[in-house]
Amino acid sequence: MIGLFRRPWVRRALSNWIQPAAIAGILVFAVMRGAENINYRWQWYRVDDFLFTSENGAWAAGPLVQGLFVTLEISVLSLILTLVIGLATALLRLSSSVVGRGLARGYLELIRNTPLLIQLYVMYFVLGPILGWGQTTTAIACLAAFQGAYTSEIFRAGLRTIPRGQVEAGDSLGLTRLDNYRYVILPQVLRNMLPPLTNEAVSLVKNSSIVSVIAIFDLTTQGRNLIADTFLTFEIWLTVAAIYLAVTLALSTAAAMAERRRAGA
Amino acid sequence: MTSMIGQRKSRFRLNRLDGILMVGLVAAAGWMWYRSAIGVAYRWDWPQALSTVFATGDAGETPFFLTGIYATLRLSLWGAVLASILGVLIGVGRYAGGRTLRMFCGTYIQILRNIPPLVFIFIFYFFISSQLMPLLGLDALFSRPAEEASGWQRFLFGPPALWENLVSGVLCISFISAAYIAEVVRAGLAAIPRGQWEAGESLGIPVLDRYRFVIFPQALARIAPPLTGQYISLVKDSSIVSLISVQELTFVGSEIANSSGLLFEVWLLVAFVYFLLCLSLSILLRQVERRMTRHFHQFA
Amino acid sequence: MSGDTPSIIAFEDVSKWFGTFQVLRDVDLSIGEGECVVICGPSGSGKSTLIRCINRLETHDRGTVRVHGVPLGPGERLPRELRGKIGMVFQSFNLFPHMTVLRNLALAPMRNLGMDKEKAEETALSYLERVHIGDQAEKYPDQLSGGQQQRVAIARALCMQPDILLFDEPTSSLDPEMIREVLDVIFELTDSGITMVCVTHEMGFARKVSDRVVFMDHGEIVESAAPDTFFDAPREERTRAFLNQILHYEASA
Repeated sequence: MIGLFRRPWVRRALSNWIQPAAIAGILVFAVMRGAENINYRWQWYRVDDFLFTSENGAWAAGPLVQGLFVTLEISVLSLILTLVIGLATALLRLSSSVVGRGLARGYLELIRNTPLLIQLYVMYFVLGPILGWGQTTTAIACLAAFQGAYTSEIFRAGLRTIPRGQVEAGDSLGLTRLDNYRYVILPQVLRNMLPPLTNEAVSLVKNSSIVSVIAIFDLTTQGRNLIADTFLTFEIWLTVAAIYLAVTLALSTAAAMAERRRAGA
Repeated sequence: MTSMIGQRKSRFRLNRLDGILMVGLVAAAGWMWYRSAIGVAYRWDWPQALSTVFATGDAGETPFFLTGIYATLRLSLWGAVLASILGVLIGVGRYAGGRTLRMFCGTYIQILRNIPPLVFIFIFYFFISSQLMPLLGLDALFSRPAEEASGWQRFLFGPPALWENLVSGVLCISFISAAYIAEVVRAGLAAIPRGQWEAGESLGIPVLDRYRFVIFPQALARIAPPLTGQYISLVKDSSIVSLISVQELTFVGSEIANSSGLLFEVWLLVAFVYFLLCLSLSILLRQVERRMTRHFHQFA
Repeated sequence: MSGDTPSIIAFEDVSKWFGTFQVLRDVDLSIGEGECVVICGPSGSGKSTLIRCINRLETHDRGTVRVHGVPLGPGERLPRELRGKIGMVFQSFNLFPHMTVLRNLALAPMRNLGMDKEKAEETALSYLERVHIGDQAEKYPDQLSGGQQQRVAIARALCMQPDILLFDEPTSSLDPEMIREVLDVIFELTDSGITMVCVTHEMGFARKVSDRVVFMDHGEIVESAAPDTFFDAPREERTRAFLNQILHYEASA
């Protein structure tokens, strides 16, 4: 058990996450005490009901947890779409097709040089109606189109960094082309790409909060609505922030563990 | 460059993929035109949109849309200045501070980078308006009569009636951006080989001079490219402060779109303006970057 | 030990640990003013750590290091008055890549000694002449060969007019054909009165240049003797084994 804390990935997780979370907790407490001095009445006990409600002994998700599910659903769906867009863009950029490269380039410049919020508005007010998309579809498409531009760079880098010598080594050993890809190339590509891809997932979860402006009932929207109803501004926002932090924390830690397992294997 | 994929043979010969993509593009464009003209029967009216957007006020005031662009520029400028200062302080603190300082700077960076900017802005805005402004006495400053503002002040900070508004926006975006800049700065410092510090130390160069002449110039050359990216991000991220009613381009665009009903045109126009802003900024910064790093043979 | 000259560097019972690994074991060593001492030994024997304790790039954990008579205890950094007085030449040169050669040399005299720019550059040029690369003053380090870079580094250290010059394997990262030019420059410094401590594997150089050779192994000083005695009649078995390995190789090469 003691040995666990000596392992590099555990220590990294501790210093990257647990420690900041603890300090943040202390800071929040300090702010609370400060706010008490200006007569802010803390009512943390009311927050429980927003997370889980129990009726006749049966537990049900409260509005915040429902919002979290919507956030996760949108994030997962747009992550899948992001990977597709990212890979397609990367392949187009590395392709021999002039139109393909131009298309990829134009898409990247367009996404990189406009704010996500504006992309969302354009999709929601212009493209959505034209294509007959609903809010959720618009939200997923928008997040994926945005993240895909950044993810394509990861794919591109991953595909380009496999040294020619590796391919040649596999060839000269008499591996078939397929086996060469399966056993030599792809494992290396994936090894290089997993950590940055996890960051993309973290980004997606973070960015997904912006879809609250088009009335999707995600975590942020639920938080805003609850505040409008109850005026528990600090309690609810801090809870919402903590939930987002917990999700991104879990993702990063999972990535660290996966990396360690792969390194150990 | 060794690469398995992307052997470019001849640049300007079209191949089968080109054909497929072009057919696909034409089909998509046609479908979009069909949907917008017949499906939702939208009536594009660009002349009307442009005249609405650039209409001067009754008393000859600057067009509302332009005030939004100016506000975004001011927001970006002051946001970048404040974010750079904070970012460098936090980054250096994270890299070179004592244990406690390192921990606090690390916490700041991790938390700000891992909660949605939108959530941070909502929390922080509430905090600013209810606590920070009264605490710093800024509300008194901003409630001075508007006539006292000089032309320069108006040019740099916009109309006095919106100063408080601007400050809220600047604080929000620079606090977020500072976390990213701090991480860039920390990584840049960490990438300087230890020997450079040791050489400076063994030559007896005083510690601040060591930073100033030896470490920072080298770190700056390394961090210039990611820093450029951060500044462009800052301009883009400035759009979300429209949600706390800071009257910048996105806010103004949304007002005009809603009041005129020309949703398609106005939003495309806003997007286009952001695109031009960010693109020209990135070209400009790339020039600056090239000029700055031209002596760095080993990094060039 | 050199009893006739006053000692300028003295290690008294110095130990140091990296975590649980002891790099220096009760080291006692006294170096006289103007003396040229070569320290040799297998890698990981603590040679570099030993000389880095002199200018306090490393601090020790037990015992006392005396520099210029100033006693330095465990964890103590270099006092202000000694800063810049102990020059160091590194294995990897550590020139400042973003400055011209001239500026590399002039920076420390300007910032530490408060020399004005003209004076500092004049001094710098004279030292560049001394290491035979006066014509490279306006170049950037990466435009020079390894041997030239290391000579620049030596000139840079000399610009602070140090009393002590430490060399940490100055030729280890050089291509073979450039080792000579650097060693020649170091050799030319022997009559300058500067105390020199040099960690090196160049045994021919040690024999020709040094007043004394110190052999270290596993963090302790095994043998310390004049070069002739050291190479021709080593007392300790470990020294003999080490010399056998190294010299055998040199002879057969």
